[in-house]
Amino acid sequence: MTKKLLDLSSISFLVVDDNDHMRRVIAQILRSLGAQTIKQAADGAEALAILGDWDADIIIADWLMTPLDGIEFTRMVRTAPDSRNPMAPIIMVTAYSESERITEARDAGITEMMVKPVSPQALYKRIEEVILRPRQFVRCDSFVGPDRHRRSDKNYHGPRRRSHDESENEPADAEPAE
Amino acid sequence: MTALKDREASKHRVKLTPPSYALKSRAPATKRDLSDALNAADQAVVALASEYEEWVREDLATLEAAFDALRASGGAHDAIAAVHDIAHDMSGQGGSFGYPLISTVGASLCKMLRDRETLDGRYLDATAVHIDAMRLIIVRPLKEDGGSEGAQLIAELEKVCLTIES
Repeated sequence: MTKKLLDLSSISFLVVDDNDHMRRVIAQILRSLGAQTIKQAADGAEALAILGDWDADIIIADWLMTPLDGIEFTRMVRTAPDSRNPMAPIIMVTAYSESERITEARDAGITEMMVKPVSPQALYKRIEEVILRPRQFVRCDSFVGPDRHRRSDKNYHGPRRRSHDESENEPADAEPAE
Repeated sequence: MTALKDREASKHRVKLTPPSYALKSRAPATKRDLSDALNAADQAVVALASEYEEWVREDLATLEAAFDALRASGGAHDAIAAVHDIAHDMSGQGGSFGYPLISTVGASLCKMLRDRETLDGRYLDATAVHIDAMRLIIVRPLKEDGGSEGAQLIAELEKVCLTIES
């Protein structure tokens, strides 16, 4: 069965990029794919102002912007006390491709990441992922954002290796070592 | 021990919110084949290509001015960042408009400049080589892989980068 395009006509997008040519390209791609509601912002600060009284269903943001870059913008959306929709899906579109950058963006709370140059295929794939396979949202002291695991295995019964998990060899009532 | 465990546990208290499928319910599948829609989107981007050729020339002029300022500063940190950021933007665009070589050269320049506090003469010269390469790609123009000329250009640039890092 041939794969069909999702109906994006009622999905609202916010495109955040300090390069107006890139905003134009992304908006053009979105319109070609059926999106009808697209707002644009030239940097993270402008985007936050727009989000102050309008909810975007999906945010597409560049990384390198001033005065507020995509990472700080993402953190503000996720953690600011007055953020209207901290769980809004954020697709980061960036020319950075190094693995440490990807980790940094994930830890800031992005939902999906895409390396420039932008292609309709790659952008649609991220949009489809966000719509069809949303992930649970995690809030803890060190992280706020979509679960950084793409899938959770409820049937996992192996060793628990998180730093705060009890050692398998240590009885629950053992005294801590001096 | 219980109080200690409670304190440790509270440090790692996690709140999980199940995923929302609200967007999925609002974005059902249409009858349009995805491949047709993506082809149309590709064509829409191609239609912007002629405008790209104009604005990349403007970006190149801005890059050249930033490089002049970098040379005048003797390779100062702020001036490096200015050149890096313009090259970063250019590298993010080129491939979308049939100029992947701009993306390749831009990425190479950014990699060379990243995390540098200052630039000495060798790095300044290597930066100039990258900018010259971008100018050649735009002026020729060398679209897509640029054929044998494009391959030679990239090979020469790689030699420059290897030499400078050795």
